[in-house]
Amino acid sequence: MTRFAAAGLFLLAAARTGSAQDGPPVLDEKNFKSWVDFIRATPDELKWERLGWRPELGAAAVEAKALQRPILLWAMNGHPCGLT
Amino acid sequence: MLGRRVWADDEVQALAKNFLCVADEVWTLDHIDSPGGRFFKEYVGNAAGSIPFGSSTKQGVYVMTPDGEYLGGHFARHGKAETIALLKEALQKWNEMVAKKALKPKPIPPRQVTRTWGQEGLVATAGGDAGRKSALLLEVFVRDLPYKGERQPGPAQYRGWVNQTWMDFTSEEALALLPKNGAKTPIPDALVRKFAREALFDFVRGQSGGWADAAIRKLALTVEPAGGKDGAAVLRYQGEFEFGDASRGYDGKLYGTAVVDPRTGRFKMFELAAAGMRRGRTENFRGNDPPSPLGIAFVIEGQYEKSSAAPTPGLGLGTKSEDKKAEEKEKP
Repeated sequence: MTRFAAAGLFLLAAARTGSAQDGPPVLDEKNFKSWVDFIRATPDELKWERLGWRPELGAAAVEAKALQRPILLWAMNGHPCGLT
Repeated sequence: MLGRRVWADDEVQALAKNFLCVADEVWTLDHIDSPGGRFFKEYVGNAAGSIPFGSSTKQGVYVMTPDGEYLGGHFARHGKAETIALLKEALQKWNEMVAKKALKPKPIPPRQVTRTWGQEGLVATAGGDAGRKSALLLEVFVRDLPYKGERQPGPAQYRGWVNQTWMDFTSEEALALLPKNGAKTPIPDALVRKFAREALFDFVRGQSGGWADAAIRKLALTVEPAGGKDGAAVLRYQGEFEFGDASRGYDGKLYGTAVVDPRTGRFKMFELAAAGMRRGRTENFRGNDPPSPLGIAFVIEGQYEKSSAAPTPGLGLGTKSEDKKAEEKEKP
């Protein structure tokens, strides 16, 4: 079972036994690590990083020329490796 | 969000690995004079009308030779099928060029996978303030939380989405995250507002703006010593927030911990969770949905890699961390 699934079940179980199932989530010393585990991306969700994205086109163009390799540019409003 | 889900696909990755992969901020490329901006404009010129760019943005996926010649391109959002078709066509054109010009492409050196931002630090176009002088770089994740019996609530097309960004801190800011005189210490207002401005909001489904000062109704975060571990100092963070403007709001609490080298003040581990109820619309793909729980987590990228620490108490997962198991599973 992945940490994401385990954390999710733990938190759902806590919600069912508590009074906050339909209300604001409970966050305290006992469960904050479970929340962190649930929220952060799983290894599968982070696989996009494996392509080793260069963060700036100018420097990458110099590198591509030295390597004689074509460039795949992912350009977005908000840096794709930042808030986007 | 959608783009990252496409790039995570195995079939897409197998094709993309033939290219030097670059991610950059498109408004900056299109409007600011820089080597990257000039290279991008040259490519756009060489595309010669092949790509139907939008009127206000040129965001998309583009493929070019090292000299900026057009090999392919797709404006705006791209799904898996469109991306595969684009990469296959571009690769075929490139391979024909290689044969014709007797080019000798070299292997592409890998970047360190577990660190999105390396020695260059968080670049300014990705929201970086400190760049190479960063004393602390936090990775931030945001996700809808379980609600009304559903582990992944929300419409099917957005169910289970996670988004991520990064925040960097100067040495002065990192110092301000430490307790003073061994006592419970309020984090300076300006630094807590940095969290509100850069990460404490709903961006699950895409980029959204942070909170303006006028939208911050309540915001407080404290830090206090919480013992020691293997010669390092353990800290505890607690806080609460209430944000709201004309279109949206987010109220909740913060709780977390950190491990710091007491001699250098360097953070070795950081885990901070924010959890509360969001309401209203965002800039991207969340309309005026009913209030629902939203969680945000702040960690140091890669801090779990070599961890053999016990997992979250009560889950009965054994002695190795979940990530350690996942990493070992992925090894060839």
